[in-house]
Amino acid sequence: MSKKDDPLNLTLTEESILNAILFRERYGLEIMKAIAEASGGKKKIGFSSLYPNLRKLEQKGFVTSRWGDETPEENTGARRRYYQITGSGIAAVNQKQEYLRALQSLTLNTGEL
Amino acid sequence: MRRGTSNIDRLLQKIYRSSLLLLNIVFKAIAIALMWLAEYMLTEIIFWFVTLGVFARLLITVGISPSIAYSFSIIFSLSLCAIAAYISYASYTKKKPARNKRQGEAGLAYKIGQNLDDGKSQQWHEYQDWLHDIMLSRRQLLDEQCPRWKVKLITYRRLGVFCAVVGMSKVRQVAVRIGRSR
Repeated sequence: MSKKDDPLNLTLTEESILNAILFRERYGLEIMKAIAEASGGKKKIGFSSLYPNLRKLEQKGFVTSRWGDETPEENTGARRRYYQITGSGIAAVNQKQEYLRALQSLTLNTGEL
Repeated sequence: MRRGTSNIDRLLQKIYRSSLLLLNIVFKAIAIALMWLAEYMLTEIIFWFVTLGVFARLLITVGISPSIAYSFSIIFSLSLCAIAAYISYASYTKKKPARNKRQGEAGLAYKIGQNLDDGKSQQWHEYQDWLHDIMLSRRQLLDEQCPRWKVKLITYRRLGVFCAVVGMSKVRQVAVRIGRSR
């Protein structure tokens, strides 16, 4: 595993995207709305950040996608794509959360000392 | 050696064609924006200058100091212009029948889609859902009664960023090919 693919090196945006599709598949705009809603509008991901990040996550094997069955967009003929988290994506999220939990308990112990 | 050179020539031709295409899209977007300004805003701009001058002169004649008179007349004329622009825009949208669906930002999106979707474009395969979601978001904003000009501005900006990212991806792809052929 290269340093880039290390789950501990996930950026906040990548982590947010993975968490947004942890329990159900979503398409791009849905992911953006889920992140904005969950943060009460404080964290927003733009189009220019979301799609390149999704490509990166797909290349790392953390995310997989499928084309939607909906009719293509009327002006452009572009289709909707649904993103789903993979097994290694779930493992990466869990690893990152375990690391943060361990870090928090370590801080507590140090505080007690 | 000769074969290698012809490969490079072909790739350079491809870069040239892609750059022309991108330039074409950018110039068209600028032309549309300028035409829009000339068509809808020219009267408002002239009206603003005239109101500003007349109102400032009036205030100075009454005896108010020039700096206060100008500041006050700028605010007054700007608000007057905004109201006038809104009224003319509202009456225009009422009068104008829906001529062609693919105009403005929808037309630009259509052209981008046409240019990218040549059946084998890697960029189209990778990023068409991005374009889909830009247009879906536009529709949702319009349905939420967001002002038309705001939706237009947002969609143009998003399409501009989309073009830039896809263009860079295309250039990178061609550069990698050139590197490999060498």
